[in-house]
Amino acid sequence: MYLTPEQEKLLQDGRPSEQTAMKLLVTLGEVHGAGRLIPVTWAHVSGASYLTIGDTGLEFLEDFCHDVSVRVKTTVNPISIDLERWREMGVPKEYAEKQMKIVEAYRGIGVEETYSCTPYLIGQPPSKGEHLAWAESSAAIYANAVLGARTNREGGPSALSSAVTGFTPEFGLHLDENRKAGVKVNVEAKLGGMRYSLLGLALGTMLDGEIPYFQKLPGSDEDLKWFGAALASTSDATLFHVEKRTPEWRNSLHGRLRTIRVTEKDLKDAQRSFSTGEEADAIGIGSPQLSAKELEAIAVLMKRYRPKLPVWVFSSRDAKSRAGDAVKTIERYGGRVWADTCLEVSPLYYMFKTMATPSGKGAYYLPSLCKQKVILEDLAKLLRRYS
Amino acid sequence: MRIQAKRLFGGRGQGPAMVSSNPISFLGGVAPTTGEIIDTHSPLSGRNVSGRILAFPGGKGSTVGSYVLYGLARRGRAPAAIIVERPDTIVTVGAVIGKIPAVYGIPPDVLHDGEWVEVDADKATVRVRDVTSYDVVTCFLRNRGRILLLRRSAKVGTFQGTWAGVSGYVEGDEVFLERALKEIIEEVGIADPVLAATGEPVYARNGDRLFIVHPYIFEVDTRNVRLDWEHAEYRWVKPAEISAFKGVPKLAEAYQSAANGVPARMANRRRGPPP
Repeated sequence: MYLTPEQEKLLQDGRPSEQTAMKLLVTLGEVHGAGRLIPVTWAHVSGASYLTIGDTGLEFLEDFCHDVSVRVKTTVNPISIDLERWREMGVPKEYAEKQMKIVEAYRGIGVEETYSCTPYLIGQPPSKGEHLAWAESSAAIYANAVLGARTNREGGPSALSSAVTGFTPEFGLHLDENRKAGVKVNVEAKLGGMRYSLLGLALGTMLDGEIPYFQKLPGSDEDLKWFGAALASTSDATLFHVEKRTPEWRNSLHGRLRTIRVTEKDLKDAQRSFSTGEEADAIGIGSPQLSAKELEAIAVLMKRYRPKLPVWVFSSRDAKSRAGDAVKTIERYGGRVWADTCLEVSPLYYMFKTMATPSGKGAYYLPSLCKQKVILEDLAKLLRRYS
Repeated sequence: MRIQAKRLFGGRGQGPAMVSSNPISFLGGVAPTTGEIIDTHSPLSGRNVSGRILAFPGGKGSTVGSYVLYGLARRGRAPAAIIVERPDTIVTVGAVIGKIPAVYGIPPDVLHDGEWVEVDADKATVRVRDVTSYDVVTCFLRNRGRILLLRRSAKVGTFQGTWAGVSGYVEGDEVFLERALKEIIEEVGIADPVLAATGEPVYARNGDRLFIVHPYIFEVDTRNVRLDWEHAEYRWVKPAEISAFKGVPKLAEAYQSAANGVPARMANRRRGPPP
């Protein structure tokens, strides 16, 4: 791989963690056939929740972060607790202390403490064509598909390496030729609400590594967020195109492509296969975190249905601060709006055994990460059922 | 034998091989403080990776598995070296952050569990002292979609009675492709074969011998075959039928490697001057 003199210097003479970071980027690049390292404008690191990375992950971060600083804008994925209200989440003190050590490690290298899986909703989103190094599969697919930015689906350590060096190996979705559609998708089912999640879950199982192309996929940016998060859970898809909608649809088709049909039955099957519980202990709304606009919509529903079981809503501190009235309404009607964390990276098992959620990504990960049984259902239906 | 792999992370390590034919899940599969394999579904369950040359197809499961390799290395409990067939993100990241000597591109069945292996990851070589390796070319001749298989005679030194492509040992510094062309003339008497594809080498371990098979596909314009003493009979078969024949070790894999390999036009172009 070709390295610039500046990159070579960082690899040979940088601080120990900078050398490790450069070695990691060069090795990943060589394995994937990259010819060089390119600058990124923004790194988004995952691996911040003590629930997911555990003691060995904490050890790595403490060792790695003690002698470096970030060189580009760096945001961080959700941690496993609300930093201000973790006691209300039923989390033991020892657990919170471990989590705080992870927070301190990231704080020490100068990250923006977003603790969010929706960094594109905080401040200025990345522009079309901008090169990023984003971990968090739901954010990476959103950045590529909806914003037209360019990132591979990074892991925690590779995104962290990009944060402290400012570079990423040029392969995969950084290159034009790897951003073309590989399969057409016809949706032959009603869409709306949770059905965007079901579409993502179902389509993910039908792909064979191709980038999907929709001639028609109506819905808001939020709908595409839920769809993308679910799709990235059941497949390694990190980009999709929608005709007359997403930034790169015009140049994405070439040659004859096979067509996948996704039917009403496929959506129902997805819902059934991810529903493993009978009676919910709580309703969990998040994964990905909710936008300010979505918090406002939930406030309206909470007021209408006044549900009788705990409703845990996951958002970013940023969105929460911009939707103060909605947060108050949700909490007045029995809900809790947590910041800094998200549905399946928080230790729900201290409080609940069966979680009802409208999130496809949540339904995919809750059983393994949080030992939960799951009821996957539309939010309004859930709130009505438990009102 | 000393075989050439590809470097994942530099350094050197030696020790007894621990061979897994299945992918390994490090998170939940290997204890991060001791190196014991705690995955009860693994055939290696209860054994310990520390100080071993760990040979396996790839990682599986959570990407947090990289941190498990880091945790082991930090405690001096890591494998002495890693030989991974496919370098996925989990293993690549784990080897780099744990500074564990690691190479890739070698399937685990090249090694026998327990034998002493030396890995020089800087040079990307894997060495087993008591094993001898042999470079072999094997040529699949193709005519109108059918592939020529030959049954080895009783007079040859190895694998008598089994089916094979046109094959031969590479001698000294000989160019592989020249050996292939010589063998085609000698064994089946077909002139002017046209190279169609070249595959990645396929490894076949047989006791204390390792055959490094370099596979090729050639197009030929005749099905007239003139056998020499090395073969007893021949057949033109469909590619899908190859695996049904009792072949020399890794026969079907060798064909598949060539079929998936670099088409000859590309191969020729690569050798040309840069554009």
